[in-house]
Amino acid sequence: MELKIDRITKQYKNKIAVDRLSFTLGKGVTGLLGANGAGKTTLMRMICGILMPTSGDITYDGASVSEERYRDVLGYLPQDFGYYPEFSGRDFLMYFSALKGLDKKAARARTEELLGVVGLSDVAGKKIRTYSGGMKQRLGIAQALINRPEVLILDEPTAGLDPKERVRFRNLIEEIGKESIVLLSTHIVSDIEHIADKVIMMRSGQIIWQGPWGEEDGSLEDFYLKEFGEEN
Amino acid sequence: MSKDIRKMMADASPKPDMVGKDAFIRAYRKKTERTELSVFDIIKSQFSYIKLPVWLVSIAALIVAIFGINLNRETVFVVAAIMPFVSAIAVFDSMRSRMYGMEELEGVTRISGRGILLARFICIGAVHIVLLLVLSIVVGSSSGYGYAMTGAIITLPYLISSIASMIIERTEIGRENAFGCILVSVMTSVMILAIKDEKALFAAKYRWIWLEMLAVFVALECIQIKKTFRLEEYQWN
Amino acid sequence: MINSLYITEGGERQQSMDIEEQYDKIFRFCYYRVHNTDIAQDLTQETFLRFMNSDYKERGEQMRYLYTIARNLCIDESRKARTTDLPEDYSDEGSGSDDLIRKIEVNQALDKMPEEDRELLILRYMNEVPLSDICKIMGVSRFALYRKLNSVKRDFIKLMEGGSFHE
Repeated sequence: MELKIDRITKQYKNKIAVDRLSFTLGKGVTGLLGANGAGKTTLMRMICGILMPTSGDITYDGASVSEERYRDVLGYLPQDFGYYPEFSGRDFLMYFSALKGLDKKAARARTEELLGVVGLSDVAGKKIRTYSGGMKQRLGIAQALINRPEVLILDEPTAGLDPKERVRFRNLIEEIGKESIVLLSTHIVSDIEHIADKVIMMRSGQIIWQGPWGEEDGSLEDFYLKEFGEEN
Repeated sequence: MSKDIRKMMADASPKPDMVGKDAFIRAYRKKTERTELSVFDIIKSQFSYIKLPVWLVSIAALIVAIFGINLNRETVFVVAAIMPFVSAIAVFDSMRSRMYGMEELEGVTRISGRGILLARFICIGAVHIVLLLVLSIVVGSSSGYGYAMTGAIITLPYLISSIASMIIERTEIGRENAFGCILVSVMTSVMILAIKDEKALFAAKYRWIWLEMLAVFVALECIQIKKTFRLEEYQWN
Repeated sequence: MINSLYITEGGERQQSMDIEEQYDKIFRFCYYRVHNTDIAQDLTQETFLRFMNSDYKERGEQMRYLYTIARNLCIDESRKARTTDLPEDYSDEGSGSDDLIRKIEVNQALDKMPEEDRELLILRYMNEVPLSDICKIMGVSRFALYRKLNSVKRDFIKLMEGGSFHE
């Protein structure tokens, strides 16, 4: 289980969004910290195989990110996502179960299981447009987990969650990180402080610091503020 | 009572540890036979999600054709005027992922964004080819133009509006709403109704022009479909 | 699921039982025999591995086969160690207190029932296994199963009422 990012660059006409990044991820939770516009989303889209890097390689256990084999073990929560207006929460999960290759019976079992995990069982039959921001976000998280991913990419997953939901989410991610590669971007340090095994800090498309982070290393918040002093 | 017991017991039953279950099911799936998704699987996954209006317009065209059998020449043009809507709605529905912000989520599934588009095109396309053939035969039998010419008159507006809709839907503004597709359909439809009384255009000696135009537009359609797919490959470049 | 399709020697495509659907059910089945979530999880996984490695996969017999493997593994397990036979603490999940009390009551009532009756209740009401499959799993006729089910259900309700249910 190894996700290898090798010198990837994404260049737009007049701007380098991601600049020759290299790192390797194994089992566990990795927090990707950086202010808005640091290139986090661009990086994550490339890791998910939906945005082509200008140069460089991303491979997972030897498979390229453009292969079906990789998408089969991938879960992704984008920063922002929509839904077809006629969908209920349950329809939404059933739809993605089908796209991820589960047959009807398996899809039904997995959908109900996940609705329970994210606490949406009671409102599963209601249209998504009646959901609160936090409920919609929880639905997005459930969607990312359908295929029991080995690689889970979460772009600002805690956006819109209230404090109680945040705690629940953190516990869930910590659990999943035991058997999966989890990459989680955020600009809120407390989201990852106690659950991340590793931290990557990004600024203007570059990694400015990366390494393991444990309780003994002191306050991540202080360190982050020091590194990003001029921006915060 | 049975239902109560069922619910009560289901709620009371213990749940297995999530992480252990995840890891095991993953490993189990890898060991059991894995097959690549076939085109058939992909099509099956999308078929039930095609919106009702797509089929309703097709049925409407068919009903008009059947009831208009005795009305000779007029029927051809009424049916031809409906066809732009048939194709525009189909293109719009197939490409709605973007409009509703689903493209990223769909793009990372096994099937992929391209697969989904392909499945939708195949589902709708297959039905439409049959529809066009049936319409050509039903209407052609009494139109006085013969089957080939009738087919051309009906199919051309279909192709024109579908080509234009695909071009519009590929643009940033076009995917924001359905307005572009509707406009294209209305314009094509009006155009057909406007020329229907120019009998000279449909005279026997010019029929080869119609058939040649049909061939050209079929080619253009193919080019547009290809372009639409290419867009789907690396969407955010 | 695509990957639950397998090809038999004859090349025939068959639908096998689906692990997504059956995992939790087998887990519950094992749990109420061994009363320990960790052991139940191990037994569940062992059941699926044995199922996968066997070639006994006749259509319509899979349920029976799956439950038979599970039951045998559970019996072996309970012979091995009778010391860990203490019922688990059911209060691990922090849901509402009424739900929690109900949950404990159900589990206590189940614990008081004879092994075979409990198994029947679990198969029928927790796992919603079709009656025809239960007949095969328990090795009884449909008629006998109906009668048995009714009496077991009555016993269960009585046990629940003995608790604080329906005061």
